[in-house]
Amino acid sequence: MASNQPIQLTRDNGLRSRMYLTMFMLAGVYAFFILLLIAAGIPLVFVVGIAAVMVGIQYYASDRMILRSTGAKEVTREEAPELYDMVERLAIRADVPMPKVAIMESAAPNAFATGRNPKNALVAVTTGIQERLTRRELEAVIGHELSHVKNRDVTVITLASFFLTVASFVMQMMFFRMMFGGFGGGRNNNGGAIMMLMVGTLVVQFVAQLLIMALSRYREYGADHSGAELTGDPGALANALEKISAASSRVPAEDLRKMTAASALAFYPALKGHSMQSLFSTHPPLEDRIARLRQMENEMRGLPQDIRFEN
Amino acid sequence: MAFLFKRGPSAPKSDWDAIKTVITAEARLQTVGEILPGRRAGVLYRPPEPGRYPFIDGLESKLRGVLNEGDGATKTSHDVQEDEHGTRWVILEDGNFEDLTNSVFTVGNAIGFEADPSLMIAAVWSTHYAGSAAYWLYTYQRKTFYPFIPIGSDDRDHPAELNLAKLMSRQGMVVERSTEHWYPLWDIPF
Repeated sequence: MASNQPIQLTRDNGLRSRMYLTMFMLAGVYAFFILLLIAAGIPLVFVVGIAAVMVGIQYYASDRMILRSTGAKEVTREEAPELYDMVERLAIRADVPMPKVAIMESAAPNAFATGRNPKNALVAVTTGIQERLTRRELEAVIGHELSHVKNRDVTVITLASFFLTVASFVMQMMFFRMMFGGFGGGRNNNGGAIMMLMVGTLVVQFVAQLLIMALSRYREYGADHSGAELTGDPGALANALEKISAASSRVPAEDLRKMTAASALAFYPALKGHSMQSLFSTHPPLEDRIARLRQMENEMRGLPQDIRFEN
Repeated sequence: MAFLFKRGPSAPKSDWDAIKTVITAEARLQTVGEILPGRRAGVLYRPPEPGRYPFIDGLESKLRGVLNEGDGATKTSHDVQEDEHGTRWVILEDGNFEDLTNSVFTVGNAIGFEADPSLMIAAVWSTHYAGSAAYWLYTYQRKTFYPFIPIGSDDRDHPAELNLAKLMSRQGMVVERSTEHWYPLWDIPF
């Protein structure tokens, strides 16, 4: 059981350096994009201003928007005393202000944190996750979510996405310009330059998207690490992830014998494409997260590291 | 979360390429204490109409020649049983897991060769994982393995199956990546 004292979280230096490298690369891509916009004579202040308003709205209203779209309902200490106490105890340990607590009516086991800064944070859990997880496992999941709050992950990802918003806005402008002519350019359209700008913007969008997804994956690992430190129980978080993945992984109900009778001649080729899938996902593969947590658990217990056979 | 597991180094071309991966995986998992040894396995097939394939009609007596005589003879004992689904099991028992697995392959191969490969449904190995009886299922259609851990007669321990699948995959077994193909096999007779 976690005590009620703030604790100093350690840093995973390898993870941090990869995270900073990703951010640095992202800044490089964006710098290239700004140069591209300037070279193309796009009214930069105008474009960036509009994008800033869009991102600003998203940033300041995200918690309310998410509450509305997920149907999560904020609860008080009286309405959900056990959950509220758990969040409060962990918030003290993480040294963040008490966030709002919300519950979603859903059988799917899930949890999330949102809010532009720790003062405006909200932690939400589904009724499904409360039913499926033990107390320690739920505590571990909330520790993970509070780590997102403490690490200001919402802010980081929103800011990282800023120029992505600019890029998609530029694409829309280009599109309108091609359709209707615009920016007072009149007949003096330079088709080649526009094509260059569109291709450049597309490349920026693509690369920035990949980098943001990588950044998001690193921050998941980071939240796993500090979340596990908060509760002092990496194994509980690993168990929780396993349960959540099992609940969302579907297995058929029909007996194999019935199935093969029905499709004796059908042959479904097994699918490939794991690497592309992991390149484009915002969460790291569960298997890797669980393996890291198990290793952390062993280290905390002073056991030798996981024995693995490589093929 | 349908695709949790990486496939092995490459997709196997033959049943033997896939089936042999269970031998090393079983030994390694036993060494690190993840599983307890199992000494029984079964080959499940759909019986053709009587008289169509003489080999199938006299299977019980012919298995002795296939398994216990000639090159690569093993001490594997065998028994043929029909289940309530109308499908048939060749149940094999051998204290040596490698021999047991060789016999599984030999039986499946013989039925496929002497009769019809499309009769083959699955090969099943028994094991013990996390305190309960568990099975490794190999389907001839997809040439992949997946774990099956029944609870009683109509429920299964899917979280434990996922864990076991990860261990199997890590030890080089060709694990079915899509859990949508992890069909249950109720009332396994061993």
